[in-house]
Amino acid sequence: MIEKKSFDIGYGNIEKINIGKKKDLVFIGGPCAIENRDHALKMAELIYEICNKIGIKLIYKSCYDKDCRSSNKSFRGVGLEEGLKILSEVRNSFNIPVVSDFSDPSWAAPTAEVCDLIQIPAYLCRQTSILEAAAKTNKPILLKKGQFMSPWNMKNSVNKLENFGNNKIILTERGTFFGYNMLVNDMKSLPIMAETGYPTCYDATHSVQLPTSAGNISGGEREFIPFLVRSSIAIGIDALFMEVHDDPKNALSDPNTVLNIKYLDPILRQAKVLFETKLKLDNEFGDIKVD
Amino acid sequence: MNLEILRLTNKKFKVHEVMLELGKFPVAKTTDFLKDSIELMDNYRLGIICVVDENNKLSGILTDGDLRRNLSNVQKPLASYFLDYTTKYIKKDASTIYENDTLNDALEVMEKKEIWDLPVLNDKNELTGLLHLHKAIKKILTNNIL
Repeated sequence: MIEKKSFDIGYGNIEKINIGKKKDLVFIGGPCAIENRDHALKMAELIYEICNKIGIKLIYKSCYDKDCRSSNKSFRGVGLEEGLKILSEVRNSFNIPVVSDFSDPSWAAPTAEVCDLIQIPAYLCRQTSILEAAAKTNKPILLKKGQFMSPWNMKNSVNKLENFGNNKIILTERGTFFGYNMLVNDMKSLPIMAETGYPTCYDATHSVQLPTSAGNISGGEREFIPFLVRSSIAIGIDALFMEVHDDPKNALSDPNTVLNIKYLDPILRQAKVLFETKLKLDNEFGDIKVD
Repeated sequence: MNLEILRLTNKKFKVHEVMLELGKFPVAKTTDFLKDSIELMDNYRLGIICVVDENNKLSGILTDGDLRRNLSNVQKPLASYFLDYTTKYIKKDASTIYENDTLNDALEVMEKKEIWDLPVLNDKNELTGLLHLHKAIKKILTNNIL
């Protein structure tokens, strides 16, 4: 048997969040890109209040450099230095862990200096130099599953991270390419990736993406977010990931998939109830293995 | 199989005298992918691989026969099967023999279970070798120690 792994996210004085023991559902959320300081702080406050009220642990997510935009006209981000300053302010203001992705090996160390969790973008999930740089920061890693990857192939990426000395990994499902400009959601990937023993996460907003379907920008079918959230939690995950915005139409990144914050409260409430129900079912029936 | 020739000898071989030592047969870790284990078996040209935990304790074995049976039943894509952890398919209650047991003891187990390989353990239950019948006979005959 491959042992189940669990670890804490958070350094310094902030309250650490355990992942892997499946006691609490962890929510990883925020606007896709850091748009500016005020907006980041505003979003953090809104999301934090909702999570606090419901009793869900929050890791604030926002990126400083969206390196994978389709169009050179798209907003790329506030940049590493400014972005990390803002994330640090969010972290200190709300006493919560923060996460950002990074797209260049040289960005890993500065990102890990501020962030409690560092994210590997889906497109780069098998890029050895990126995995090496992430692993060597010794920070927990949110590893996105590439849209082009089978869930079992993610075990190779896990192996790379482990060989570079990091065994604090969260595996994230975010949809799989189905031909051009289309993703499908194969929920079997969650138990398959969980075979590694590492915690799993479901990214409910990128999963509804229609990649670059609008020519120079991705479309999305946001209406399916609540359905996918419910099914992923019923299957069994450790963390839920959603990008959230107060004004999706004018969001500077992923406007067609980001969740309007007005829906966050009911979706997270449902998620919490389902998560707790799932725990009860696990206690009652254990792992039902069918062969 | 007629094993009488080995039994008739006056010399009581100890298992460790005729076994394959570590490094001469395939050993995998529990976290190794099945594909890597199959390749290792192929490299050693042996139909068995021993799987050990981080303390070199035997977790189980996997044989050509197990792989054949798996292959005729596996429903998932081959790529997925290859990337399963070896531990998923091992036989955990494999017969073993201690290195200081006699070859006769080992032969009895082999005959009873109709198997030709036995993982060899020391008194701490760590894996130290593999008793492979064919190679054991060869070692005895080529060294003319009958």
